[in-house]
Amino acid sequence: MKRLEIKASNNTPHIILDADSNDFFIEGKSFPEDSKEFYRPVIEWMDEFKTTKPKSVRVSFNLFYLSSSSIISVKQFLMKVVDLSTAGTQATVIWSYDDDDDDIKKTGEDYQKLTRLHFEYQVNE
Amino acid sequence: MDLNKSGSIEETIFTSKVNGIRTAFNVVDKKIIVSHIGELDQDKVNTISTLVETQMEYLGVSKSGIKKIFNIVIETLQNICIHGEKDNSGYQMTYFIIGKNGNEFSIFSGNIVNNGVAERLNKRLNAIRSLSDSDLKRQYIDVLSNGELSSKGGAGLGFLTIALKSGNNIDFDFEMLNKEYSLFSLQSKVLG
Repeated sequence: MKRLEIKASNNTPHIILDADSNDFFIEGKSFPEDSKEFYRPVIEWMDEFKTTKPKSVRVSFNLFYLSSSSIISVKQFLMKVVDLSTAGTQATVIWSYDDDDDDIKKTGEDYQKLTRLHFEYQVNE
Repeated sequence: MDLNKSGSIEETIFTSKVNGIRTAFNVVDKKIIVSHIGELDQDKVNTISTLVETQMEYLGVSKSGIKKIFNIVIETLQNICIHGEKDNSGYQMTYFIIGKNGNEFSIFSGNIVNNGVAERLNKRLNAIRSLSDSDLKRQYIDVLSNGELSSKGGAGLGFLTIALKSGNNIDFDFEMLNKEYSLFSLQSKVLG
């Protein structure tokens, strides 16, 4: 399956979804004008990825800012990870944040409660 | 409706609103630090939000304060971009102003909405304003759990986010411009 990479812009994050390593990264700021449209290829990629029945997947987030519509889009992405997990894939979410950034930390905790996925928190050095 | 026409009723109401805010901050100890009048698009949202960040850093606002203000600024500006009505010639009349009073920042915004939308917004914002902090958070989680993005890209979390970040310090009003449209003004306050 083809690797998906979306380069960062002023208001969108850097995204890498790699089906060879099963390592995914979403890093940076996210406040696109149309969040649904921006995350559409990511969601579609996840649907196709599910058909490969991966053994495990590791999703790393390092976000500095998420607009409210991006928060919904990232939730939709995480629900795709939940789909994988339900189908037997071992899923780990690495949630990185700056030491003094309670907002992003709380967003991670909200997602963890909502998805019941295995979250590991890391403070950026 | 021609909003850009000098001297029209719509333009007069809009201008007097903006002037009122400017006058209120044109006194000792108070200051307007960011002001944008006119059309908005995503490029302008990027420029204004970067300007806000730079100004806040320059003013020595704490990192968490900057983050709160940045959150409100983005939600406010993107709301206007998505929902602000345009006039017959495609002109989108909006204002966005940040005023500083000591370490308190007031974020003012205004855009044109259809009168039917004004009625719904009024109800929604009154409901949000009456919520306690814990109820606000509960409603936020509820929308996060069940929310989908609308065709316009709205999440239903925008006003809740503004209320949460400002400690529910929000104010708003609607001034009817004509049979069809009103000027929707929103204000939130944050400590920097």
